[in-house]
Amino acid sequence: MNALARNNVHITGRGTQPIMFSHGFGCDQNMWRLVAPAFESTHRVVLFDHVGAGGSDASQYSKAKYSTLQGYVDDVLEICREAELSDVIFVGHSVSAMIGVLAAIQEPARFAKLVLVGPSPRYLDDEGYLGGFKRGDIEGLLDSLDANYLGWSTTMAPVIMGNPERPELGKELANSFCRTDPEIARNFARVTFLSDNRKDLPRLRTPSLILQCSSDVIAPLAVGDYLQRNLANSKLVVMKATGHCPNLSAPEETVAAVKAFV
Amino acid sequence: MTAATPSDLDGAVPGESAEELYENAPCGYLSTLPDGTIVRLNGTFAGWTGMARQDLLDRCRFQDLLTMPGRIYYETHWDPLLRMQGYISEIAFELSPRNGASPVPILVSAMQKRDEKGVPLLNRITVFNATDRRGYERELLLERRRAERADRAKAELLAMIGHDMRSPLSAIATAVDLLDRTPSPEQQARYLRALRSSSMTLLGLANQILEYSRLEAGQASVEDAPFDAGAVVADTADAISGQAEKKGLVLRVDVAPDVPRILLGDARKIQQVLTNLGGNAVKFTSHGSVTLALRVMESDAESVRLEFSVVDTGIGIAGDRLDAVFDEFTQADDHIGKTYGGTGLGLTISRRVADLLGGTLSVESELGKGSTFRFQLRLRRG
Repeated sequence: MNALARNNVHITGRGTQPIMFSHGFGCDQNMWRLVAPAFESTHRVVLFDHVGAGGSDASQYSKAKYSTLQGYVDDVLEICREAELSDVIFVGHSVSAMIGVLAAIQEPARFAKLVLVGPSPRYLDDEGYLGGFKRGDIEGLLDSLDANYLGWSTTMAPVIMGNPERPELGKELANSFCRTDPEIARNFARVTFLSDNRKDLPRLRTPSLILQCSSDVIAPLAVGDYLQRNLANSKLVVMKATGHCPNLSAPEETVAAVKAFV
Repeated sequence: MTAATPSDLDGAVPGESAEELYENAPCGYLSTLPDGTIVRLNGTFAGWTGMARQDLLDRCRFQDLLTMPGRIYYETHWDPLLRMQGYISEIAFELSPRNGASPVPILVSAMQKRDEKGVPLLNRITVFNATDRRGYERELLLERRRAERADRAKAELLAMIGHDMRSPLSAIATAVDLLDRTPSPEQQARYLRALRSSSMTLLGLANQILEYSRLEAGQASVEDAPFDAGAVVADTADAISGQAEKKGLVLRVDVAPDVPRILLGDARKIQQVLTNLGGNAVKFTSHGSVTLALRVMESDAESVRLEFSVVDTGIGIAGDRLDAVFDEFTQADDHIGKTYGGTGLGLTISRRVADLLGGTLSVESELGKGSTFRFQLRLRRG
């Protein structure tokens, strides 16, 4: 299987240095629509969907492979090899930030810089560590996914797709979120929120920028501080933007921060 | 009731106004800034939050009112989707009231108001109280999971039956083949024995499957005729004695003297349960003994409560698997089917039959030491 097709890879831009945007849990490459275009004149822009999300080939999903972040890391490295990317600036949102960290630890020569947007090495609280969540919160999230994907798969998609007056609205949903198989979404949620990559952090040598939103429930400020302390050669920028998706809520601020770093 | 005049339809309905409808509608209304900060809300929604309006307005974000799982969902799905497509429909959340009340299941839809350049100005949010509906959906979800499990179990049963049929069938085919070729009467007698035993195995399997589907379809009926419970135990012992003898096991029968000679009940079904339990005991015991016992637990002028027990010194069942042995098509361990054969239907059928007779079937066991199955039921005196 060709990784470029499997991960729905889109490469644009007029520059030579690749900048690779990697989306997080719950989203697809559309998350970068307000950010990625700003790099087209200067970089080779690489967008892709994780397997199970967006336009990826969901038939390539295997529970065994994607039961840890390593499956996703392997995909990122395969895309890099197939598209012959080197000197890569990797921009990872949410769980993809850790995917980028692990990929750069495994193939340090391939990556120039990492931009970690709303990253967290561990979401669950632990002794002496504040991740922000308890195990029950994650179990509750899985129930919430069940409740909501049920609605999306059986009623919402046909209603929107059968609404010819508003095709532009239906397309987005049908093309991205609706394509996420509920079973895959549950597994991805589990892998994301139960992962613990704190031990990996000191092994990263690649320079990194931590983009932290003020007031982000998914990645609290304490987590950003923790990362900055444990990642050598890292810089922490706390943005004015709130929430977990500055790439959508504050694209200008996000673009400016990334440009200043690269 | 008078017909509505055109002016009524324009809005001048006595006792109704847009403001009053907004404030007291049977759903919550709120408007927020794109970051979730509440800038307007109606009384219905404020009531559900358990907070004073002044503590909500300009001070609180909509997502801050949700339970933690909902907040994760909000950040990872709701917010990106609303920003990308401008609206979102029927998302299930739970409000976490500040006054300590239990969470309120809600169903939420929103539209984003944007300026002419497409920059988001406000989110308009409608909130329905979905307490009853959510309970119903949970039941449906559980039902679906149960149905999926049962479906998988049936597929596995089919595979097991296929597997269990193949060995005796191929033994029959081979025996017939050899029978055809040998002139020796001793050989012929041996092949006929093999034929008989394999046919009986197949017949037993077919009977089990039929019995199970009859119970499943609720077609089984219960007899209420005079019978001798002690004799049923003795008959059961006779039925399994051949196998027990072959394995060198001691087979004991222990019927208490106070068991009444004549009781009313379904002797055939009771024997079916006992034969299954006894057959299992012999099957899973390689040395030692199997004991079939019967005693009176309670007694009055009208009826007695009996306990039939089957005690073996066999392989036993691990504590964490004890509850599962009566489940559909399960054996205590996957490799048991491979080592000892069988579909795992026997105990499921026995439990159903016990239920049908108004009795109970239970098990105690220790791994490596043996198992005790107890079948208790109340029977009227004859």
